[in-house]
Amino acid sequence: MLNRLLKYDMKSYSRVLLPLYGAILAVAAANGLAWRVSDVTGGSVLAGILTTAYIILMFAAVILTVLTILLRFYKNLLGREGYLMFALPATVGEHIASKVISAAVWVVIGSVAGLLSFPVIMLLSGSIRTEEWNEMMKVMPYLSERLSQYTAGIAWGVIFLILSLIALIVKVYASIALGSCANEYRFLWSVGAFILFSIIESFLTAGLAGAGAKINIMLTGSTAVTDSAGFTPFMMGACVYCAVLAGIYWFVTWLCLDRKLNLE
Amino acid sequence: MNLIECKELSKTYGKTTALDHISLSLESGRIVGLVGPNGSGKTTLIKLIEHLLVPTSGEILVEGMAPGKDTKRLVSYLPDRDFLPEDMKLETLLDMYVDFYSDFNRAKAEEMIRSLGIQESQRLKKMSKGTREKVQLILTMSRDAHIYLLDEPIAGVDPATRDYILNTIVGNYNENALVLISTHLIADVEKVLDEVVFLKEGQVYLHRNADDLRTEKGMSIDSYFREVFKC
Amino acid sequence: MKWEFKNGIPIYLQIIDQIKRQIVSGELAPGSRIPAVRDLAQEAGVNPNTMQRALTQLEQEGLLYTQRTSGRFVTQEEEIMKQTRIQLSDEYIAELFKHLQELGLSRDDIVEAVSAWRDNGK
Repeated sequence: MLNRLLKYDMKSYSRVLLPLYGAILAVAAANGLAWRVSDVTGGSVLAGILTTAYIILMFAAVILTVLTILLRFYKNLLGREGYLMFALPATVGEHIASKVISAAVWVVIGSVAGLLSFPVIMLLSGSIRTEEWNEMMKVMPYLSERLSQYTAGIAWGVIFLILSLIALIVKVYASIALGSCANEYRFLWSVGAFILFSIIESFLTAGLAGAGAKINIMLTGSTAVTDSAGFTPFMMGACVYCAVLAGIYWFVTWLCLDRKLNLE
Repeated sequence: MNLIECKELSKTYGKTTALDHISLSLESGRIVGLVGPNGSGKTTLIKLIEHLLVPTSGEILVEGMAPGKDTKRLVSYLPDRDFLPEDMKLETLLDMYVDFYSDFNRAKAEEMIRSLGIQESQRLKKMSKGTREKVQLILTMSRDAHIYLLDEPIAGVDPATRDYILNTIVGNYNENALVLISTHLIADVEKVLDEVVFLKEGQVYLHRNADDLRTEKGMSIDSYFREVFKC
Repeated sequence: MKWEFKNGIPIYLQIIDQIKRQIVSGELAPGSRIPAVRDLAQEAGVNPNTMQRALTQLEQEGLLYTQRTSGRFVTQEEEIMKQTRIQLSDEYIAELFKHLQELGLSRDDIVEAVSAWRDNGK
């Protein structure tokens, strides 16, 4: 069932976001080429316009991605479609999982598209010539050797990024779900819930970071988090913290959708 | 075989009691009318069966199980409002039903759709309200479910569509299934009912065979309803 | 077949009555096959169980009979149809008497009125 739900969620996102991310890469490519052309012709009006377009598109992409994530959850589960969705033979947990996973996947896709657009511009615009690029690439082995002692920490770091993304998404969903329990001013209640969650989180983070630092000093005798010995446990701790937060927000969302479902 | 069983089932919202310790058993092979004025608890009961609400106290069992993912597989639910996703094409929605419901009979649905002159390639938001209501009914009745929950299927619908809906319900009759129709428009529906349940202020006022009730009271169920629920 | 139902009387009794009339009047020919319960119920707009109840009683009274593989048929027995015709006529006559007596006519008045009606060739 989860796979089937995912299929429809992913498709729904792709209709809006695929063209958008594709456009970013396309404009980035055009932008890069335009700069290369302007080097030759001396006129940079076109390149300038494309750069502006590129920047606007990047902003639009971020905003649209966020909006799509919010709307998909609300419209599909709490609007009129909710009657269709909650009649399907799936648990509330499966519904939440499908929404969280599809949102996270698309944020990652968007981030990759956005990150890729930089080298695309750089390369196509010729600001980095092939020889320079090769020189840069030669440094890679040295870099990876220096970083190797941090491999575990970096791996945990990536996991941390993903977990914190998931925690953020579930926090948003929990806010929307809580807001929907009200009969009026649902949007305001959701915003209020989100702010409340954020405030509580910041207190928790500050408190835990302080405690974590103390524990770290006790365990490793080092005050530097960037020290290879301290980095990995720090990251692991951060991952656990994110996972716990995500779990709490998940539970809140589940409670609202399973026990207190308030479809309009 | 009891397909639906309520034992001292209650649902309260704050101070309001929607359902007050009701006990009810419904068997397969029947078309049952759940009647009562607005606010008598009909929709609450249906939502409890469908797990869109959870009981405050008491128990509700669907084929012996608590409502959830497994019972939704067996129950075909038609809500009293428009639930069709606007931006979808009808054929995509049919794909979805095939995907999620193993008991969905696509051929049957397509035949009914065709006979009404509806185009599968059309976007749902482009269809008129009456057409969308028929589509919702067709989707619901094209499932080979054990229980059909129809919440106000003929309210706000023109007489010809009403006949079509009732005709479809009767034609779909299956002795292994239970059809529960919640309505306050008894006069139009009573001829198709086997049994009728009167809900008054969150309680079961009566649960009788339709013809037996007519014989006992010497009047139509609609007339008796007006008597019981006189303001 | 045009089905009409009144309030207050159980549906299955009304179905029995209507089918009897159709058999006696010849609208449902002797020995002809009647549709399946579900189709008949759909046509009449009634619950299939109710229709079944009516058909079962008609079978018990001998107006219909079932052939296991082929379906349900109208009786061909003259005697049964005659009896049913008499039964239905009696019911209508009883109703006539009831209504006219409510209007104040005596039984003799009623017979006289009926004869007069017949003689005037309406």
